[in-house]
Amino acid sequence: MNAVDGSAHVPQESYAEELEEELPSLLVIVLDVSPAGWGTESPPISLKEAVASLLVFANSHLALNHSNEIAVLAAHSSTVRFLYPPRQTTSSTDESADGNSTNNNGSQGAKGRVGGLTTEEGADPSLREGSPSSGAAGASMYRQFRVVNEAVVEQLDALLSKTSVADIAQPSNPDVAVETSMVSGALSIALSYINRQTGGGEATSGEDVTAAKRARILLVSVCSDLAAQYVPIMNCIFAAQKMKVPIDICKIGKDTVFLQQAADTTGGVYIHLDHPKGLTQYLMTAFLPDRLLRTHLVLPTQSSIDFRAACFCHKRVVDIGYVCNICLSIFCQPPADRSCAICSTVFDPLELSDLTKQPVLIRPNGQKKKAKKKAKRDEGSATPAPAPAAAAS
Amino acid sequence: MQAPFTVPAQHSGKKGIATVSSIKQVFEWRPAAARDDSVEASGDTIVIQLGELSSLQASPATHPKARLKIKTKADAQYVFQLPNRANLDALKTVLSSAISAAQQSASTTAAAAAADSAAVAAGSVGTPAKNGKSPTKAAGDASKSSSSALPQNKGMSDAELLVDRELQQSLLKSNSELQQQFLDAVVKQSLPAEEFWRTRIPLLRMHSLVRTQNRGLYNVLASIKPVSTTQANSTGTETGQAQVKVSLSPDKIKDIFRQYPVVNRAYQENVPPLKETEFWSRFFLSRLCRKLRGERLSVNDPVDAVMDKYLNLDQDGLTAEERERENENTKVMRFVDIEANEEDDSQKAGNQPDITMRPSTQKDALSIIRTFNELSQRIVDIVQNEAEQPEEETEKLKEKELQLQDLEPEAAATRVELHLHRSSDSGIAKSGDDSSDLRADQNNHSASELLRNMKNSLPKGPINDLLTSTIPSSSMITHAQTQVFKLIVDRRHTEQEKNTTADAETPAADAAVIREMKLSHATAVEFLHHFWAAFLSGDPARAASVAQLAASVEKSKVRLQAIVDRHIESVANKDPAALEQEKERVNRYVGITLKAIDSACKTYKDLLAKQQQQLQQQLQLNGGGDHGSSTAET
Repeated sequence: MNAVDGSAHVPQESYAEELEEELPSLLVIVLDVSPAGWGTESPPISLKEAVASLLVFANSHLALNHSNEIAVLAAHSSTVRFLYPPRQTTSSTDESADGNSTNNNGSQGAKGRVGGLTTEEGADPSLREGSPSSGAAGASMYRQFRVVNEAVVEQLDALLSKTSVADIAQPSNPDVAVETSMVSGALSIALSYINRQTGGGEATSGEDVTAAKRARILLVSVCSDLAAQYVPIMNCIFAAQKMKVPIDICKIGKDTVFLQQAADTTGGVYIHLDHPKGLTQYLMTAFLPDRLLRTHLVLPTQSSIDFRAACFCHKRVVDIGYVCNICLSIFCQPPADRSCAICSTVFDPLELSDLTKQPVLIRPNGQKKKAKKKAKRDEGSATPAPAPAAAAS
Repeated sequence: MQAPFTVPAQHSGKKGIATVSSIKQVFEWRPAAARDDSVEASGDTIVIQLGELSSLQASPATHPKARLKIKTKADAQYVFQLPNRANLDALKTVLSSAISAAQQSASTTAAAAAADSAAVAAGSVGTPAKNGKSPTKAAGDASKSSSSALPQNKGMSDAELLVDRELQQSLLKSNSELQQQFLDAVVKQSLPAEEFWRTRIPLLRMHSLVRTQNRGLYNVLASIKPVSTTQANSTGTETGQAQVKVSLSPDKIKDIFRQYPVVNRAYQENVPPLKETEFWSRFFLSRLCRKLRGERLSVNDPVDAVMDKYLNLDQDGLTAEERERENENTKVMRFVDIEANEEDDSQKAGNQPDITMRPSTQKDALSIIRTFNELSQRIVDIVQNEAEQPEEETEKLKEKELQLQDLEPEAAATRVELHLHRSSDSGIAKSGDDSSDLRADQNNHSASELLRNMKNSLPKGPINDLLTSTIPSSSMITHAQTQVFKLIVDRRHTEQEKNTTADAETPAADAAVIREMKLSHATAVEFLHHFWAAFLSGDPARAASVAQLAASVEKSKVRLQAIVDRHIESVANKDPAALEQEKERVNRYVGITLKAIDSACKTYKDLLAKQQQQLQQQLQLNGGGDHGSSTAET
């Protein structure tokens, strides 16, 4: 393995020490459950298989260390829901789970900290003992695994079976499903959750920092259109970067621009799955190591990153954009009303006319054509005379 | 016409005298009363530089009154009434000849200067043919700027920078990378030099600023390093001492005298008895020199009867008594006078803990600090004298230094408030909905169908079954594993490339190809840059150069392609098996550049065809007489 990951140069004892410390790590899995991704005729991988793979992965994470923790979020097309820990235990997340409050960076979680830290699986075993699917087969499973697996499957079932067509349809056209999912909202909630679990930002020394370092987010994304959520997603990315929380992206389906940036900025892994059916293998090989281990590994992430942005006016991904020099908003075309649509700064008409100039390749009338010929003669010689330059300016 | 020409003239009803002085180059009109009380009437005096006059207009000969209207370049008008027609004609001829003389002299001086610089440029670049044009043009600029522009802004406008060949040459000399680019693009590929510089005007401006800076003074004594060579004992005349060689230039001696008045004084008082060389050799061995250098004096230092006299003088070359006398005249600000404040200071606190703030303690301990502080101050003073700072300003500066800034209240930060609207608040969000509709239409799954499919694929049944039923096939595992490992290997390569910039792994033959590729890539990028700059300028005057640049861009593609083809061919000859792989590898290197070139060419051609078509239509519409000539032009 050393030959592959290039870790041969790393002094062995340095991470052996860290491993001995057995620090717990928190993994937040965000599963994109938008019907547009999973509900097509022949999805690259069925939702059932994906959930099974994720559960295997989650169980492996829990198995690595006795005190490892996990949370699973579902990002629906218009809502975000905690799958694990389930709703009853974390009532405080209800208000944040409606997915509409997407544009925050973790402050919400800090406020809602009173909601209780009852994520210890052993806290109330009686609650899940009586759940319907825990039969004889469940008895043979490690209890922590079983608790997580059952909760995730139950909650997911509850979430999706309650979903009606109206929930996922576009407001303008009820027959067509929205293409997007609440990824930005899910990331916000995940960051808030991490913030709460690891003691918040105010602790600047001691164990809390190491605990925060050990948190990470894994996003399994199927929908490709996130342009409308550009700003909230970028805010989440920068918040995660500040919190030193890597965002891993496991991408099924088409590539998504901003998610590549998310992984790159936060030091996470971005893999676009060429063979989605092998999801389990991808998860186990690429996404299992936590942040501290990653400093010693060569990460299996893409080297080329699409750094494009989406414009604020039409939410399109742009190759060439126009940036307001006051508020840094991005636009796909020069503003028609000569002022910034976001901050109302009035732009210099001269500068604007520079942007909208049309190329002129042919002189419009005969009289000027002579001048063109003359200019051509001048430029034909090795060094042009100074005179035409002065005239041109 | 050396003597000033004077004639009585009325201006706005006042009587006065008009004077044209060819020496002072002015036209002047004074009211007659000014003679008696010049102070009061000075406001009425009109003085016009001859160079500023633009036109003269006399009233027609039939007109009863003889009037002369004078217009200046600043569009000011003055009307003078003269006693009779003869006076008017005389004044007019004198003025017009004086104006033309003034213009001529201005242009000749400027032309001479311009011709000089043009000659320099011609010598280095080789454009003697163009010289006939440039002086007159430059003269026009010069005469304009001499009257209006400030001297430091001269030569800094874009147009002036573009024609300043001498500046460009010196920039090229100082920047070898740029010179290489210039050689590739301008000399080899005949990109017009003007286009090359047009995109680099900030560089030119910076260089022109850099060139106007002078190197300041420095501590001369520290820069003179004595080289010691030991001489054999036997031949030594006095002792077997080390011989010290010091080389001094007149400039350095001048600087020493400027920076160390003590040395100047010693020199003035001793050189007639001593020889100059002896003086300097004794000086460099003396304790005085050591002291001035800021070195610590020790008892072992050689004693020199002449030089040691000056050891106790302060840096201005004054003895203590002389300093005393000097101090009586100069006013030391009470606040900074340590000696005067000594009694007010508590001996424990106050200035006591700071050894540099005591009036006069052990000189030796502080000598090095003092030496350097005094020297710095002196050098700054010398420079400031050159800049001639006015007295009040220095006073202000001193006051500013004395202010205790940490006791001042903190100034509130002045922020610019930003008023942001969410994009959903403004009208633009509505147009956003339209575009998302468009996108959704491409994917024609109905919402209900999607939901049904998804609900069908929901995990059902016992967890154990779910987990065991969905184990991926072994081929899938292998595929996935391969992709992950490939990503790791790729990543490792890029990380290694980051660390080792030199391409040590590439064989020599490859390295040559890569160098060639890099070069033609750089040229192609250069041309693309110029092409887009000219293309997007929207300036009809640059239409011709756009066409030329488009051709160059296309040529650069041919060049790049040729290198790639040659390389592929050589690989094909050597190792046909690796051909495909090599092709892919090379394509990764040059693919982006080729794409960029193609896109530029396509944009140009499309737009050209469109505009040509438009032009044709326009011509057909116009029809008529100029039809023939216009089509001949195209």
